[in-house]
Amino acid sequence: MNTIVAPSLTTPSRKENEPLLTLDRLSVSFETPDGTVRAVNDVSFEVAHGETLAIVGESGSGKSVTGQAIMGLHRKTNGTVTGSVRFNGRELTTMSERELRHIRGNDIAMVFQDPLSAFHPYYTIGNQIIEAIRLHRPVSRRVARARAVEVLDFVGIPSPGTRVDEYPHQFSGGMRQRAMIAMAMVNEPKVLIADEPTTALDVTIQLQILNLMVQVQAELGTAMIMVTHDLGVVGEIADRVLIMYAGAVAEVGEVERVIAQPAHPYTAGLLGSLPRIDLPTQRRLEAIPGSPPSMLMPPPGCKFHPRCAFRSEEAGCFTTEPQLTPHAEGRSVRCFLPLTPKTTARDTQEPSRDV
Amino acid sequence: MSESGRTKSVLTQSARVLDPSLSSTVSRTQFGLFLRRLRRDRLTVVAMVVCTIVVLGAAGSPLLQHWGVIDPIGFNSELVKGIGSLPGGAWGGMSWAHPLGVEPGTGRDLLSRIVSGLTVSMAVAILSSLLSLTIGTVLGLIAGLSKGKVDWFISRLIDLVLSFPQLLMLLTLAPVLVGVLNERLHIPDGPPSQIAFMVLVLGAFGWPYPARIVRGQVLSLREREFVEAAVSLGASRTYLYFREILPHLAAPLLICATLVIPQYIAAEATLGFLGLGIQAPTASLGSILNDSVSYASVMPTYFLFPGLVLAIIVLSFNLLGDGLRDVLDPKDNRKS
Repeated sequence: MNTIVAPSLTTPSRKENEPLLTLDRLSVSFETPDGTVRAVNDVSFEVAHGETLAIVGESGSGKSVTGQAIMGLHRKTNGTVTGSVRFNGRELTTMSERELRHIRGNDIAMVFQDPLSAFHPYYTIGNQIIEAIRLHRPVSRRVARARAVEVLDFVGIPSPGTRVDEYPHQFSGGMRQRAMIAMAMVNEPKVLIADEPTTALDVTIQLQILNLMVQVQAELGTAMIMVTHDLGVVGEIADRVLIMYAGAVAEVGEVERVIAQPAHPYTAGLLGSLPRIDLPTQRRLEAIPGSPPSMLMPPPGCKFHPRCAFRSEEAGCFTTEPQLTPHAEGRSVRCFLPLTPKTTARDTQEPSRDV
Repeated sequence: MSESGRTKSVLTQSARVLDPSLSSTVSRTQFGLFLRRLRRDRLTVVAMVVCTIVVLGAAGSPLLQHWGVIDPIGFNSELVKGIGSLPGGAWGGMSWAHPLGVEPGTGRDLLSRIVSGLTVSMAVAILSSLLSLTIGTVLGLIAGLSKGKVDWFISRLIDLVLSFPQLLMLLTLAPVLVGVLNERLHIPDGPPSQIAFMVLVLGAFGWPYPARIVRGQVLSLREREFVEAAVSLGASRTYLYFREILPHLAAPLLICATLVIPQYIAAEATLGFLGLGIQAPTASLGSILNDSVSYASVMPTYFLFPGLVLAIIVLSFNLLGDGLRDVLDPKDNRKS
């Protein structure tokens, strides 16, 4: 079961290509007093055993909701899900709460952005990990406690034997996120969904946590869905990347290719807004003009067209919504005018384009 | 896991090396932290001591009466100058035998009456706050967890009860309800029926406050990330309610109780003052005050002492409530 995948930052290695988790046209919408918000629109992707998929997008692009909806963790009171989520051949969207409970934390686990608010403040870290174990395994508290110490040790918490009895507020931010990861991995899940696990941490700790997540993956052969807005993180650990804009997939493909040669103008914009060490320091960071559209009243046509430098009336950007279509090398892009190597040259002030 | 043992040790090593911040922290238990904070808050400690003495005194007074240490009922006619007249001697007949003086007319020992009056006052206050907190917690939990129509209904019920003229209701209901309690429910006539009446009425009108507090807490708690995290780990509904949400209600409810108890002590005194409370010869702080008013100009000590005791108790419980709120707040990160 536990396929040990060599952790590699450069070459994605996937032994088993049969997908573990398949999302098929997943949509999530929320009823609000102002109207229906379509937070996620027809998102489809597959995650294979041991693979790391990064979901990237701005705030409000629907990336977190996608991560939550996989396990049915979205707001149920006003949210509805359509489409399908298949895990190991089982449909999750129609599953009962009771069945879902056996999946949650056991087969699919989640790492949250802010470990301080994700841990219960009244119980010790150890107690919470013990409970996480005992929700799924019929073991004694003693055995569960030993296992808790073991995972805390694995995630690099010093003197886990004593720290297991401490409260979340006694841990530093980085240590708390380590403990969070320990709690998520304690039942050896097959999929780990990490919702911006490094956003609340400072830069030096971020790298440690990312390395730790790679280690966890190597240890358990876990597939990972990394929800983030940080393309730097993506390049660091992901195999494939899925760029989301306005609740829909803008572009999907292997990380190196997407980063080296973005096909969607939005991806190019995201990359252009990152400081880069290999380019002259005088270069100004390019911001994407405007802000993400309101999901209550998305613009007609391509949802990105109001902010797009390459939009064209003739191509239909203003009126027709482009579909996600296969691009080169196993990539898909939702754009009528995908960028080519020539147009993505970073220093182009006047975007030229060959259609 | 077995085949990964080797990998583990290597990985652990590297994970360790990654984090140089292996600073040692002094670990404190939650209760230890509570005690440390409490010790720094002198006023709360004093209030706590006073409240403890009051509760112990209230609980012990029937025993003291049984052993003859206090005698709230026996007449000392020799100490007063005839029926209905003032006690002999200065300061309302103060002496070593009667430190706070005696009652005019009857010569009953005032200290004894105050101590035994505490029992009735505290019994009413504690029982009615238990009743109102229980009703309030249950309804508040249901409202906060169910949302929607049930929540709307309970919230309107709270508004309705709060808009009732409580004192007027009490005045009208008193004779009827005491009679019903006495006859239908076979609660013995006299003090038991009167106490039951006060508890029922105060509890029935008092639950909206704790209900509102609990509902608000639950509404915010259910959206907190640790609840979401517990769900993501596969926790059941019951687990969420009892293990994740309920512990968070303990502190607000404890604070609520300490703030509600003085209200009820004062409410009992008000009822006693209006003649609706406990009837003679049993004493309560309210009934003593009621008796003392007519002597206010000629024997000020008669209302001064029970009034002072009432004020001190109410103040102490309020201070204790405020102090506990500060001490129990986990977000309060004052360094020792």
